Amino acid sequence: MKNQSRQEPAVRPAGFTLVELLVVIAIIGILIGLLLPAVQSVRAAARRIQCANNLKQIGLAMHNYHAAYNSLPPGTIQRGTSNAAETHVINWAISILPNLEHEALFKSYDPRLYNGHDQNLPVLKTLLPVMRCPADSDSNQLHVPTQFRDEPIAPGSYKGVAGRRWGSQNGYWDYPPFASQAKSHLAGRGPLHMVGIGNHDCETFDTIRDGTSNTLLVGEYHTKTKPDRKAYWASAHSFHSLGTPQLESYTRVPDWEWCNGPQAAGGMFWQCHRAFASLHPGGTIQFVLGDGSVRSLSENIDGRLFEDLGTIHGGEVVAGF
Amino acid sequence: MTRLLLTLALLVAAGCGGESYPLAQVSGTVTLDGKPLPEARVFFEPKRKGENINSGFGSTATTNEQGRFQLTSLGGDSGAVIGEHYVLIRTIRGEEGPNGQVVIVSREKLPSRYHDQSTLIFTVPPDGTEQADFALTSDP
Repeated sequence: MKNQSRQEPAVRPAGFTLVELLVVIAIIGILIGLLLPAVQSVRAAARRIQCANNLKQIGLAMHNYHAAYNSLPPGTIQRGTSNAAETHVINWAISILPNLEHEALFKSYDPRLYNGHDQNLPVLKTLLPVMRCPADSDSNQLHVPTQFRDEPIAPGSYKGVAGRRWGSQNGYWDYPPFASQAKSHLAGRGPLHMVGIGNHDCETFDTIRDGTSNTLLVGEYHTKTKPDRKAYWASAHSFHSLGTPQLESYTRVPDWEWCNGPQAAGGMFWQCHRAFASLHPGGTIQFVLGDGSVRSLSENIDGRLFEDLGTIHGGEVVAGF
Repeated sequence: MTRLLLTLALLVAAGCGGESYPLAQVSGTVTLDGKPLPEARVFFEPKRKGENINSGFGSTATTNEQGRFQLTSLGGDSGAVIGEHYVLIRTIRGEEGPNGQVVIVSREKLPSRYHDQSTLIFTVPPDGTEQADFALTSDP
């Protein structure tokens, strides 16, 4: 016995024991486990910054547009009170294309025809990186939106801020049956609303009485369900390119289906059409403000404050913002 | 080893927590002109305190035949964020038609002062309540 144990070290083959190997593998596993979430969060942060950068560009383009025309672009232009495709003319995103160095694309769009006209479709089908946030899911390919002709068009990730919702059933202040010059409605207007009905005109930095640093201009909208409910950057339908900050917190969740679910809007699906939400971690929703600054708001924001930030003429106190 | 893992888990949990909004159990009754109001949707949206612009996620519920409701947070847990809330109560419900038009399934029975222009405020106490009662009237 003594002899055998003395010989053991010589018999043992060169290399690691199973335990040693397992320990090394475990340590590597733990290290990778620690590293992977860090890498993922760095990638998510990079995507968020890219989205903020797009918003910054859009904000600058708005300012350049204002310098040239002494007015903000129209949120959308509507030729009549029906929702027929022929009534939609143009939206804010197409209007600022020359200020985003897309002069040629802008020139190929004919606003004398309607938005979804065959001749304008190539513009609507253009995937434009500045209008797309890399964190937005499935937005790098064309989809067929609801309430549009049966044609796939390019999604976007941003919506213009139109103002308040006052009533039920699509009761957005600028929406056909509601668009009026009534004082209560005018108090709900935002910087980029429907123009052409109810005698509403484009806004200017002068009409943003609440102050450009207290007014949201353009914000993010993503949804991980229902690609037909995405934002569509070049569509002049108000549900595709305009949003309305709303009181209810389910309108700040990036999931159209859930927004209309039994726990949330529960059948008031019209609230989800004009929602703002993003797929960034922590429920951050980014906006460019009238002064050109980009701010991150939380999905946990006070809903009334959020509504107030979307109006230009509400006269609200937004202390702490 | 277990202790090490536990410590790691604790560190991660502590590092990732943002603002938290503690919940309390809330139930109550909705009546319209003194009668219980069934099938009404109740929405609680937290109101901010002071200069903090964030206030947490809302809670919802639907009243039963007796007009009773119990709030569930939109985050999935039972209850509502402690503190003041904007309250909305509606009975309208719709469905989407083939071209996106609104098909009304249930009409709005309540005046707009209870929903679209609501001024209702309710304070959820730290230990919750079973008396979140709303006596509504249908006069305009």
